Amino acid sequence: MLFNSEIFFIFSLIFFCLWPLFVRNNNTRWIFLIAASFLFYGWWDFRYLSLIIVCGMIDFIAALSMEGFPRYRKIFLFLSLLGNLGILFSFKYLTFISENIKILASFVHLDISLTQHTPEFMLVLPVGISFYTFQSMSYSIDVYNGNLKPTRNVFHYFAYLSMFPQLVAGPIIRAKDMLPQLLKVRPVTESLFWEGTVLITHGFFKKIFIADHIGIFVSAAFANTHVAGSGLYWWLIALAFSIQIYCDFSGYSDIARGLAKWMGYEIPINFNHPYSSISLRDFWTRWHISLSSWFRDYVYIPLGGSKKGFLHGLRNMAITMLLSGIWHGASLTFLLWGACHALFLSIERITRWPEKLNNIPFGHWVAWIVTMLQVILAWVIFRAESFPQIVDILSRMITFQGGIKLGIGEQISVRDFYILTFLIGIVMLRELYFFTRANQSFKNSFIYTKLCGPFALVVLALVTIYFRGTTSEFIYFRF
Amino acid sequence: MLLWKNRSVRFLVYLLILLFALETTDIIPVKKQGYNRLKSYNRHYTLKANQSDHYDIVAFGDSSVSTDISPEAMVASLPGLRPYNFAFPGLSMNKTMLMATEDRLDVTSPSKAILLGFSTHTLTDAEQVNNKYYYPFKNVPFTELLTIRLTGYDLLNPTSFDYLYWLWTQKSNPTKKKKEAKEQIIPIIHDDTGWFELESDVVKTEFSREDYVNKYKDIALGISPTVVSELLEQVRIWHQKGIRVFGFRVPLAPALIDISDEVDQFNQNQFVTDFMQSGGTWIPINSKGYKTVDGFHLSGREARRLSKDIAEVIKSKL
Repeated sequence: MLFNSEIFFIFSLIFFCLWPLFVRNNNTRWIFLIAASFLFYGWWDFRYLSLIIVCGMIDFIAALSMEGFPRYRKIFLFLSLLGNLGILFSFKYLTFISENIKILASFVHLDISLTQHTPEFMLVLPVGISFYTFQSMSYSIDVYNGNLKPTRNVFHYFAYLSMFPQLVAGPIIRAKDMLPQLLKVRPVTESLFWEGTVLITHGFFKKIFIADHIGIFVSAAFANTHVAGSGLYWWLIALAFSIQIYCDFSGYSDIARGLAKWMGYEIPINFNHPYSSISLRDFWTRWHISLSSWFRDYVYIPLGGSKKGFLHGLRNMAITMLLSGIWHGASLTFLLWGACHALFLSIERITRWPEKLNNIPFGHWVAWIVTMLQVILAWVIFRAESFPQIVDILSRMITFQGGIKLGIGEQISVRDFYILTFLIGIVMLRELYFFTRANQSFKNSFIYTKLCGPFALVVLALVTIYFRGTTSEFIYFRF
Repeated sequence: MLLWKNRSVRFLVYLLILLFALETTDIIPVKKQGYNRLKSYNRHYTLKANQSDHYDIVAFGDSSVSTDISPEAMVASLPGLRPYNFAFPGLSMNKTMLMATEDRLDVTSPSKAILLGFSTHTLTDAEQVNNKYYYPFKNVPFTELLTIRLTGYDLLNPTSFDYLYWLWTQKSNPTKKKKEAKEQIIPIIHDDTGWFELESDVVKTEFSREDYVNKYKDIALGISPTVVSELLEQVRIWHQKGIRVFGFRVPLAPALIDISDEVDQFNQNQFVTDFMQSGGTWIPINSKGYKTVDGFHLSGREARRLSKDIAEVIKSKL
């Protein structure tokens, strides 16, 4: 079920009307939440609910076994990781690996086609599989590390794992943050409900008004296998995609957080104005925070972080970024995107350019521009359909092919140019506003308070309603 | 007063008031510009393919019947009867579709009738096109069908940047506005009667053989003897069951009638004779009397006129 669909509106209306009736008793509340979440997920395809159940049961049993048999906890952790990563590998990466084996085998004139032997249901990528497997794994790892006491109630655990606002596209919530919350009945105060309303309205605005409209231009540009257009045109498209993916994903996170607030729960912030970053390191503390911190805590730090020396730190960071890249999808372009960020971060660590720039007048503006350029270039790799397309687009962008010619009337019509710059402008002005006021509390700023008043919010809601396009799914659903 | 201090309540009240105001006035140009055209199109044909109600008169044919037969207009001449438009774009009159048409008929009705609108395309061997134009609508997952049924309202229609930009640019160029307004074909979908109305003032008359072949290039051209014989056999069975069967040739641009007859090798006189011998009643239609918007489909106004004319004939025969 998509957040931006009419059926979700009906679903949430029924859910929030019934929620107060089930909220008093723990088991009833959890069972109701699980039932609603399974319906929410199963609306897409009920068969794949079995994966969530299997993933959840593996970690639920593994965690209890770790507590019951501490001597063997390493084995149980291994089994948990094997189960989760096995499911993730089978459904997300098997086809990709099979196809690449076929390509490699063809070089030595062998015909190996493993895809033919893959069961049909495994050829479909289950929605949100990367999110719930990571969430489930983090539970058993936390129990293994002694950071969390396992729950003995299977409903409690599944209420956490399957909670519908964040089930299919995150944020990836840690068990230690959510399990204790689920034990209590937190009253939904006027303030909490209002915060939820603000987040949901802003989330829908970002997704439906900004991301979906920009997406039309971006899809059209990348759909052509034959790359045309000047370098400046591609800078515009790349910037447009940067805004699209940000509004699409942060919009989803905002809606998820808002819905959780309406239920009385707090989901941690997932995006903190990433396009106001003044270094890539800064960017990764603001972009998809729940995933970045997951990789930091469960990959980068266990590998040794930067404690074992500068070079080890670089290596560990590169491994983390490559894994983060491949997490997004079974494609070499995602791996390359991770590698690109690893390269930029390495240069940043070696040269320490952000710190140096910050010491000169207007240096933070230069740092912001440099950071944005790197992020935008990397997004081209992320979005492109193939390697030749990446090379073609990046070469046009870097060499500024065509000079200052944007291609209005050829690649893009006057009307589309106005629409695109208007939509990009809204988001970038918001980010810049935050950038210039980084040291102040944004929540107390004049613009924030005005934008979040009831009447202003109604305007946003109306714009979203009357400018909604064809319902399109969230980009991160496919990860 | 205490309730008014609650920001969420204020938000909801403002929202409802403004939504009511915008829906009941034309402040925002939201209606009829087909912004969600594909969505409405899919919704319409999904509901039609999964229709479970029964009717006194069921019209069937391809997209021409879908746009040309207005059950609303027929009711005026056939009071007390319930007509329904069960036509789908691109379909031929093969056995599967004829049975599906019969399923929509109220067998207890004393005036039960089937109205078949023929184009040469409907008699081609296009069984395979069912996969494209009927089965995807018929076989939607249960959840999707439920979604469509639960969200079947016609409120809060969205506007679009394209439309607003168009309005804005027209202000400075009234001649262009007039020209473009004339070229607009706006679908108005009647889910309850199955009619896919086209609102337009466009009239296209000139067509080449290439235009016709290009339109149907993805399917086999040429009248299929199997389709024709199965159809005539079914007409005979319906006649024996007491179901009145009416047939008519859908109005096309005059040039297209000649081209389609030639390309599909159609002998209308022979077909009409066979059809009537099988028990059907032929309704002669003068194609030149109706203006199409694109050569193949009538505008809403013309469709109403045609439907009324057909309904008058049916009335005289029932």
